Amino acid sequence: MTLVQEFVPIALADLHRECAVRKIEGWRFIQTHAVKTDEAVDLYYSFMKDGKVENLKVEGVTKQDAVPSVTDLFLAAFVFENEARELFGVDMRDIAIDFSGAMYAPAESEPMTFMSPEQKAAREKARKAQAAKQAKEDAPVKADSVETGGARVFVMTPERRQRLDAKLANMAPDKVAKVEAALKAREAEAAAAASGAKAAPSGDETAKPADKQAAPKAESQEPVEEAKNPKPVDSVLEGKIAIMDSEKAAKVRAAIAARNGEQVDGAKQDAAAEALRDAELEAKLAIMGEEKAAKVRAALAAKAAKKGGE
Amino acid sequence: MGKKSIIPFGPQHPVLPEPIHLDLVVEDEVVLEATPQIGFIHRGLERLVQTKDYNQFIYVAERICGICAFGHSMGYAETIERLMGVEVPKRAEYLRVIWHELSRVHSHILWLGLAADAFGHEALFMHCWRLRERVLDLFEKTTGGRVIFSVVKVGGVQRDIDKSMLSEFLHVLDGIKDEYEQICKAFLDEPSVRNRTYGVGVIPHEEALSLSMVGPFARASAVNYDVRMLGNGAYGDLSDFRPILSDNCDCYARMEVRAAEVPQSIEIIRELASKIPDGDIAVPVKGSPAIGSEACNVLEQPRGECYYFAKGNGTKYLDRMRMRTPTSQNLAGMAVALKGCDVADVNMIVLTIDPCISCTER
Amino acid sequence: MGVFKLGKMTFGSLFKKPETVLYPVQTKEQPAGLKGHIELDAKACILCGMCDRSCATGCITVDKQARTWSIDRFQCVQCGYCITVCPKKCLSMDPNYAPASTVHASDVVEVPEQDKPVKAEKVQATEKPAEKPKAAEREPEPAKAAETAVEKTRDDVLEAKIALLDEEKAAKVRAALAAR
Repeated sequence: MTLVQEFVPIALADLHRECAVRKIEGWRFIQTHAVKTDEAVDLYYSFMKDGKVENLKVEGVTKQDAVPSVTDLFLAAFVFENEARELFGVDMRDIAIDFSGAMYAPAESEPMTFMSPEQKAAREKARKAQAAKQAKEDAPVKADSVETGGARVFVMTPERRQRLDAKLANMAPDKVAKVEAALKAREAEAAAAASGAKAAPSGDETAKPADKQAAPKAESQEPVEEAKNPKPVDSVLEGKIAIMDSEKAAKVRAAIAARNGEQVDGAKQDAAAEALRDAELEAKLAIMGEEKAAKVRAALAAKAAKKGGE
Repeated sequence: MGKKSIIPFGPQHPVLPEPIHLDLVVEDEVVLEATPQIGFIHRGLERLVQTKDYNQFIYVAERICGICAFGHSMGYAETIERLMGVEVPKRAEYLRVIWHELSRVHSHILWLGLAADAFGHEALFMHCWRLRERVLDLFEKTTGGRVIFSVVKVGGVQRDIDKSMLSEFLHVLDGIKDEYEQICKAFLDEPSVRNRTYGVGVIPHEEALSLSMVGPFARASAVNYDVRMLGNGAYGDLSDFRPILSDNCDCYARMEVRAAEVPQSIEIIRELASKIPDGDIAVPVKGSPAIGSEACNVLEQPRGECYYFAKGNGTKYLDRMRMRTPTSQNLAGMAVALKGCDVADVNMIVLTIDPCISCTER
Repeated sequence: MGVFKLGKMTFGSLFKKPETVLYPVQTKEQPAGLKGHIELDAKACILCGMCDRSCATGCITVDKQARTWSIDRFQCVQCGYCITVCPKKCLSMDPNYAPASTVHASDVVEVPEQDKPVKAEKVQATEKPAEKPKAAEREPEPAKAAETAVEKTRDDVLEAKIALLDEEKAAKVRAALAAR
């Protein structure tokens, strides 16, 4: 394919001038079309010269914005401009051949701006999936950045904070409060874990983190070795965690934290781990839907009761 | 001096092949101004992209138009492949172009027949459509359809053409050639045809450029532009491609250009049939277009350049699919060409842009 | 004189055999790959419903309970997409056109009960919930050493996971867990 395509964002105010420049430079006008976005409408003006297609992109045109017609430069645009007005509700001004809304005369006004609830849901889902993918890509970075020893330590990095803020912005206030509380609990835990970790010898560079072969070997030696030198196992684990996606990683980390808690500091750490787990669960619940959250809580309560009975 | 009056022309008129309405401002027998109006068969197919996934939409895309059906499915598939970064096997590209050029042959012969009908040459019309039938038979044998083939898919094509079939293609096209030359002679040399088309509906070269006209309509005004010369897909492997131009700028020139494009297409098919590589005809396409990904594409349809634009949103449904068809681009040119002509020539001029209103409105 | 440009062709066609066939008496031979109508090989069908979901016009309906596969011939556009998505390749394109009809009705094909595929389905159904806990087990695996601690967290993890699943699946998984 030798066709070169380019998308150039421009401001609405520059639109007519840019088109005039292209007219003088001898570009051939291809077409104009509108694309509905969540908030507004994007307008695309396509030009071609020497096998290169350039799409001028005017983003975020609202119903209040008056869009100047380019039909004084390119008469051929009249069909597309009438179309954009009738199907998308763009306020086009001074079209050379103006049908004033009667070209297609659709039964519903601006039919292309309507979006069904199923479509919206599907889009939301896709967006979440992409966010998850993004998080997955970030996961290895996270794993490297907050390595202080055997225990996983939660550190509020600026990027993480940013992502979280973005998430919080979409949530209900009570949920936000919950998540904040969970975060505080985690930070406290992190501080405790860091102090615990300092006591243990660090420097696990020798055990290659991503080496999967090392894991079973280390595990086989565990009963004897572990008390003496828990480091290699942990580092191997960390490597493994780094390959996992964020959700899994979080879970595994919780498990490790619990284990470390039991082994290193006994009861105190155990309690801290418990708190951490609870906090994490709370945070998770906060992201879930109400209904689901209620279910999970019920399940947890039932479990706690059972534990108490034992 | 007569007085000005307005004649409503179309959308249903004996001489118009397509549902287009024209408001003709006439004084005596001369058209002073013509305002085209479309919108009688708007079906909202661009909207349909939101409820049909990108694999299903290919079957909608080829139903945009009954004549350039193959071109639309090919252009759509190429756009989605660009959007998702899919590399199509060489053989699939060749097969697509062979079918596409064959549909250009059938489209142009169909148009010549319609033109003959428009200037009242019934016998010529019959002969043209008789030849076209042979091309349709080829489609039927290779794709299973006569007009709508459903043979293109995202990532390649669904059916292969074997060697014996390709040689049958060439055999049939050779058989057409002799009769086609006779028909062309009738079109281009017959005085009655000349009288009807020579010097009618002139669009000078400069005006054709500024009206950004496309296709044979533009090439008849010596606009040196044909998407095929950009060398997309298998067109890039042609040893030589030069657009057919004419500088007569009138209805006769448009007929001349279309008439000459048929042998050119046959030559392209011949060359590609001899060069076609072996291999797969499709690659599997998984996943869905990424959020915010955009791609555009152009393709030379029988009527001219067609522009496609697609935007993905992370789901298997597209955010937006845009098809700018050649006729909608040529409407402005048509309005200009109609200025100053006789009322009796209106249908001839409208026909020579080869309007396809169902494409235009989608 | 250029008036009789078509003369040769016109006179020639007086002596050639006609281009058309005498339709109801003679019919044109259908080429092998012609898109006539969709046929179902009911023996091979597993009623998975892929054709139903992928059909662009929505002309195919698969009813698992009644074990029927039906097609509305008037809505079908013979695009052949269902044939490409069918996992068992039991759909095919027949080169003969669907006959005309006086009533608008769907063609219903009864899919016979088969021992083998049905069993396979059942096995799948029981396997599915069992798989989930396995998958859950796999995650804390690296922390095998501290089994007891893991046990606890696993419950949490499972609960959280179940909460993320949809209702039906969650119920299944819970049932499987209880059984275990």
